[in-house]
Amino acid sequence: MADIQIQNLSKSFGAFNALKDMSLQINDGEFVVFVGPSGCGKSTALKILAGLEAASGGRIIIGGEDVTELAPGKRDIAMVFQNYALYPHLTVRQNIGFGLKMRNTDKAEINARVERAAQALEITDLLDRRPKALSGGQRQRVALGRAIVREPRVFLMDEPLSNLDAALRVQMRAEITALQRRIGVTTIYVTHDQTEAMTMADRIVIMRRGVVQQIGTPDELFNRPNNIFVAGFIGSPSMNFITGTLARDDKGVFIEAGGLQLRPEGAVAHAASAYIGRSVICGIRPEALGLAAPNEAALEVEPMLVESLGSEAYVHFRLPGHQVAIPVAGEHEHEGRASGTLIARLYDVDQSLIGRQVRLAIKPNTSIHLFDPATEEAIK
Amino acid sequence: MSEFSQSRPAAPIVRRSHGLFGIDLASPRHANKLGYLLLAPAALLILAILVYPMLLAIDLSFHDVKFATLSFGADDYTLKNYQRLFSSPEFWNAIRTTCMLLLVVTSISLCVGMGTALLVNQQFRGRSFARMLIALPWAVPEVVAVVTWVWILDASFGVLNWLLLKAGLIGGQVSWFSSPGSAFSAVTMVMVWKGYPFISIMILAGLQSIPEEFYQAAKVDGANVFQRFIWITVPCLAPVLGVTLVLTVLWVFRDFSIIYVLTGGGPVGATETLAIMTYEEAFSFFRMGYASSIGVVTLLICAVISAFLVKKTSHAIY
Repeated sequence: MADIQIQNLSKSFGAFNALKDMSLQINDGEFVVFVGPSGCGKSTALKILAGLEAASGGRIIIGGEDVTELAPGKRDIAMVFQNYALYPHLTVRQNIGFGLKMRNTDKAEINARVERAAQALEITDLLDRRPKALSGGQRQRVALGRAIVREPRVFLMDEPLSNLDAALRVQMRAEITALQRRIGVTTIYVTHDQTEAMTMADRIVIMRRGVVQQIGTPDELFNRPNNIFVAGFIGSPSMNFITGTLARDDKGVFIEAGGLQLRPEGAVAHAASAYIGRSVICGIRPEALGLAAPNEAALEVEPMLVESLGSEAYVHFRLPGHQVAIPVAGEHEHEGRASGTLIARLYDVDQSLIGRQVRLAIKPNTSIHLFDPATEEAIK
Repeated sequence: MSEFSQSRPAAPIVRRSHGLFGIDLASPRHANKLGYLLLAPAALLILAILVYPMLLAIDLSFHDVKFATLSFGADDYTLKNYQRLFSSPEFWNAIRTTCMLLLVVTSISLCVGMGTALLVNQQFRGRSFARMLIALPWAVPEVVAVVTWVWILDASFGVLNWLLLKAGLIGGQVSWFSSPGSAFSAVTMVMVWKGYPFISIMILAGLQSIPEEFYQAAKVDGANVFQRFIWITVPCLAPVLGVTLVLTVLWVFRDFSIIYVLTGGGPVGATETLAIMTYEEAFSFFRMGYASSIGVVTLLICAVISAFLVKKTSHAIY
């Protein structure tokens, strides 16, 4: 177990900069998730940490030791791959013990440690099978077994759940988190799935186009995003973005949006006073919208689509003149929600909303985020 | 949504095709009939040019005939050919030569093929050109290549002797085809030259199918380059190696033109394989029954070797 310092790490492939000046301090035993869309540099960063790619610049220090120039096998790290990388010709037992065998560990010691790892992952009865005879979840466990059996200083995980189906992913997510907490090994986990990042991480590093956008706890990223990209990437469904001109009255600053006054509060309102009379982008989470009371000021919209999830419903609507199309969330940035459609996440909706006017209001005590349209940075 | 929900004009009704003899071969019920129909020409061809001559040869081997006849069971059946074959020192010499050639050519070709495949699997400038260069001997027609080699190895005018003399490796000109040892070496060299590209191409294809993550995982686990070769490359190549080995073994077994053009089986039977012996008996001495019995024994040996190799390598992985 060890802490990790990443200092000004960069990687370029010719003229393309895959990673730009990444610096990060990861504490001993911490679970850090690198998240971002494809091509954001998260996997490149992980490969450089593993020693599978050479860095173009910067240093990596693990447990006080500079490992930047060390071979992967000498870094005392273990890695779990997206497709598990289990050797098809070896049994589960041989797969888990492979790393120890390569290091000429005593046979009895290998057996004992493989048994211990198998017990921890509840795969003892699979030890003599080949990977072909295992299900996706079982393969995932074997891949984890191969990582924990060596008792390394650091775990690196490269999208380990992306080959599993949705239900199994939720289960394995919880298992990996519990395992990491139990063993306490410093872990860096790469994913493009913000839900995985939010549920598993002690801290999240959100990246875009090779640049770290924000580093913080899941709550910090959700409640105080640094910029539009972070605001849109974290949270599902994504944050709604509405454009409008900032005005001030005796109750404070506000933005007029289709019959609704959006009033930022606290530090945001204070910082926003510099933007009076200027156009800003206002961010509202879908869960901040609710059905308005009969005499309350409300946003009257006609839903385009209502997706019912049983206990809640996603109401899609448009706000002509105010909606902003910002491509954000998703594995691929260009596939993000760029239509400008807004979403309200409503609970306890007991009737069909399609085909009739819906009156939406901002729930009390919810945050209104403001962003500078030019820099896309948060106004806070 | 509304723009998508407008009523569409009704699609035209698809007319049923009655196909061949009123049978629609595209329908799931008749799909296997189409399969048989498509396979029939190939199956008939195999029957005509492979199975029939094979049966004919087996039949011939049990008859004491000088010239081939196309009628089955023309004479009384006899085991004379086989009795003569198994008591003939030439036959055992041919078996020994074939086995030696098999062992030497296959193992050297495998090593050279593996080495070159690993080499051109690396990233380097001019890789495509290197790959083409390695595959080149495979593309040259066998007889053309061997005639060229005959000139290269010629005792008086050969470029090899000239090179070796210039390099000071030999004192005088070597007559490659006059002593048993050098003739066998010359045959081996030309067969390896002709045979390794196939192995190289097959292994290269196999190497490219090994996921990069296997190597990355092994690197992280601390495996050095030799450990990665032994524990990942070789086992992952096992299915490809198996098929390649079977095909190479069969090629060495049945290859005729290289040896015939280079040495004609000589000197004193040093390079006389079963294939050469069969040809000699059939077309030099016109002992068709006897030649057929050699052919049948060769067939049996080939069948046993391929069955063994296929069985062995199909269990080597997964």
